[in-house]
Amino acid sequence: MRRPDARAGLVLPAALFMGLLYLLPVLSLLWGSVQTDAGLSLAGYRQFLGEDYAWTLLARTVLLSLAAVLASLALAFPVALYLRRLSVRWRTVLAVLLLSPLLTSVVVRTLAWVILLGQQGVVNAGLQALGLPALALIYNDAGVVIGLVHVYFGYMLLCLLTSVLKVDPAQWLAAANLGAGPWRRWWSVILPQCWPGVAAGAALVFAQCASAYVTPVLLGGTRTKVLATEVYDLAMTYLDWHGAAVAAVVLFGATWLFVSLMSLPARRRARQPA
Amino acid sequence: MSRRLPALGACWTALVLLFMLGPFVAVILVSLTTRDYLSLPDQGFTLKWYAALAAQPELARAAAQSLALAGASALAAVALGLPAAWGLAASRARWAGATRTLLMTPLFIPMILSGLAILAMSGAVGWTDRASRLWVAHVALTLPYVVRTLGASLAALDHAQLRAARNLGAAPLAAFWHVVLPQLRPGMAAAFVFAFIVSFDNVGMSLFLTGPGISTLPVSLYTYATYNNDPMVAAASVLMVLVSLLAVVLIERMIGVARLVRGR
Amino acid sequence: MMDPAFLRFAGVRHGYGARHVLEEVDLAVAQGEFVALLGPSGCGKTTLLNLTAGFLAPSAGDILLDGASVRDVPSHLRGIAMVFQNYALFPHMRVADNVGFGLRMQRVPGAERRRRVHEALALVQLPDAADKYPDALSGGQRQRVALARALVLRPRVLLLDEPLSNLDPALRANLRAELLRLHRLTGMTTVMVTHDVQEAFSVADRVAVMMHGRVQQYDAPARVYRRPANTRVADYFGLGNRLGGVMRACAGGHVLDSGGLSLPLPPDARPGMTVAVPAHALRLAAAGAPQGSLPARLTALTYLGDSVEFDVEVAGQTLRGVQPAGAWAEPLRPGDAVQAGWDVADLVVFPAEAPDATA
Repeated sequence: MRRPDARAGLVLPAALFMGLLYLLPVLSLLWGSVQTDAGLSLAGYRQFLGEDYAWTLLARTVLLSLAAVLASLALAFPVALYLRRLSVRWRTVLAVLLLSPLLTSVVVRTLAWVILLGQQGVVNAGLQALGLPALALIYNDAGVVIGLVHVYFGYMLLCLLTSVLKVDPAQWLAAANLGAGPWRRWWSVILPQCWPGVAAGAALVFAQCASAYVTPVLLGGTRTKVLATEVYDLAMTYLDWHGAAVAAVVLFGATWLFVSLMSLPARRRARQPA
Repeated sequence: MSRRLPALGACWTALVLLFMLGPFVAVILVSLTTRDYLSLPDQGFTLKWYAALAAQPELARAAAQSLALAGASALAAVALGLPAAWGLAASRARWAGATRTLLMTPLFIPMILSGLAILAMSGAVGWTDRASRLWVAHVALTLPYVVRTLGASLAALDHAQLRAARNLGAAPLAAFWHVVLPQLRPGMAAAFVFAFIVSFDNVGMSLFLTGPGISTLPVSLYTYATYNNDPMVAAASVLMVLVSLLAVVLIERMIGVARLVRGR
Repeated sequence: MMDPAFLRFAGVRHGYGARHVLEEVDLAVAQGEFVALLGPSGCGKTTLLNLTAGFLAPSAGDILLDGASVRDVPSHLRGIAMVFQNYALFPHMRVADNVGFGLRMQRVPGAERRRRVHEALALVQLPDAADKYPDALSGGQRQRVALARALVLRPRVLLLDEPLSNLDPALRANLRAELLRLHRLTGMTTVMVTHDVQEAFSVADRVAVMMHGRVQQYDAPARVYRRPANTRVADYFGLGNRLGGVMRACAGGHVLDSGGLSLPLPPDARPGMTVAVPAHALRLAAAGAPQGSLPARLTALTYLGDSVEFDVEVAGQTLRGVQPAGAWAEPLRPGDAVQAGWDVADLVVFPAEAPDATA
């Protein structure tokens, strides 16, 4: 089409809006985190990262997120493989059922687990009815991981499903015809082709888990604090906006680092011939 | 191929389905309990918690504010996102890719960071009106979903039709109005619903930007839940889930999830 | 001086950077003429069509319509209507609204618009389709709606982009006849793009064979086929059976010496030209010497349903022929001695070129 520049103007309102009212504040916060009264300085970071507490938070954040990633991956992959076999209609029905929780609020999903996992919660009530001892599934790491897995499962399923559906169905048959058993088929034929989906799902779930706030607070209680909790406390309770900014940037940086690490194997495999 | 595998797959999927949807069932049940604490309704059903919810002024007000905010945010997001998606669909220039990424940034930046950022910067420039701040934040949050949904709809359009329209004498705006827009209606409706529900559900960003005078339902519910442990929390959750359910149904009817899962 | 050509391309070039899609295209189309742009994909024919319609601007050169340059005239003001390869009908509008769209853009009042739409639909023999939606129509019907949508505007030039390629083979013959009929009725100057030789030959008054962004030859179909301009054009028509041998002058022209025989050649054959026997001109008969045929040996015979394909060794060469199937082929077996022959007038001659020459 001639004169494409006319259409460029159409993007301008949205771009200006996003740039000025969203990106600019974020950049301003990043910039502010390296400012002190004495000008450009990393003092805030040195102070924050100098404390063991910060590292504990960081470690817990990363470990909880990784646990959630692995658990959701383990849950989602067999489901994706099964959904592939179904007719489009059934696949759609099940996919909608499994993905629609994503459109509910995080608060609602987390509260559901508070209800289920509490001391007198539904799960324990059931266990006790069966004569089994009650489990401490709330106000600890286990509860948080369960909650995180439930909240962000849909993203992992979506990424895996997209990848799995792209694989030529004939390859399953070819692998079987050439003598590969089911485990071998998955390991040697399917999984290598699904790395992009795995990496995407892992990155997405990790990023969300690492910055999750509501779920760790409601399910983790006062003993399980994560970095996001610290950011919020610093900002809203102590009104230490500079400290909060530093913590937020550390969180963002750590997330970004891990996400990049997770995408590496996928990118390297993509470049290598199969 | 082993016949056991599909059976195993079906079992696993059923268990996962139970894991994903079971909690919602539990919430519905708990909201009907006659006891005064979180428990299953083993002594009978009652709607008293829903009544209690209606009688709670804060939560009721927050609910109304949430709905209004979601509607206003979705409208603004579609108003900004439609021309943007159209402009991006036309162009294969380098700036198009960069602009698209710019519009998608809320999906990559944690809400902890962006919520704090908007709070900090608006304070610095003296913008203290909570309602408008919250609205702007929600528009930014929902814009990526609008642009993505409309982008997908536009990609499905046959661009030869636009050239045909031009050849038949339509000016660019007329071509858009007569040829593109009518075919875009389901996509626009779906984008609106998407934006609405994302705004309605949001808590991460809203936590920073709410306060005396304005709150959202998820934030109020969260605050309430940190101090209380009674089944009213379940009742409020059920109502929120109903709104989400409506959104899912509407989106499915308008553009269908089938497209996502069609495969080869 | 009045330009005898109605539509003229003068030195048209189009390209991006180092890569030129079209190089120096000079072409003249007379008013009311049906011209086909024929060539393989990538030869530039669709680009030329898009330039004519006004969707692209030439890097150099000019496009003239009725003596006036339209190079800077926007697409919808040129009076040039285009029918797209996949029809590009508006799916959300009924047929009548599709056909009437251009008239609406020209602000033609409702009553006249409806009348002209009705006329156009009658012209393409779809009088009852007005209230239907495109997805309720067959491919051939959609084709005709697309034609009606273009013709209703009474354009000065009609452009067709591969009109038959999306249709089933059975339907193509019908649509070919339809295009010819419409052309006769309307007298519309038409330019059609196609890669299919049959499609081009069956409807066009003149065929422009395009390759590598240039017009290799521009002439009536029969002449283009019988006297291709060069080896590339001959290759495009699938013309095999190149006769080897030495050309020798003799009384009245030249002959080709090969395999101990002297084969008579058409009068315009010259040394340095290639001579070929079109597969359909190669006739076969059982041994028994009808007049003017040559002794040959059948080396292969393939039954293709409605035709028979065969290889013969004759005059020291192996030639491939194809003839309509019939009882005549039943007794033949590979290895048989047969008689092969052709009419000298059917021989195709064309200038030979070095294999790596670019025009």
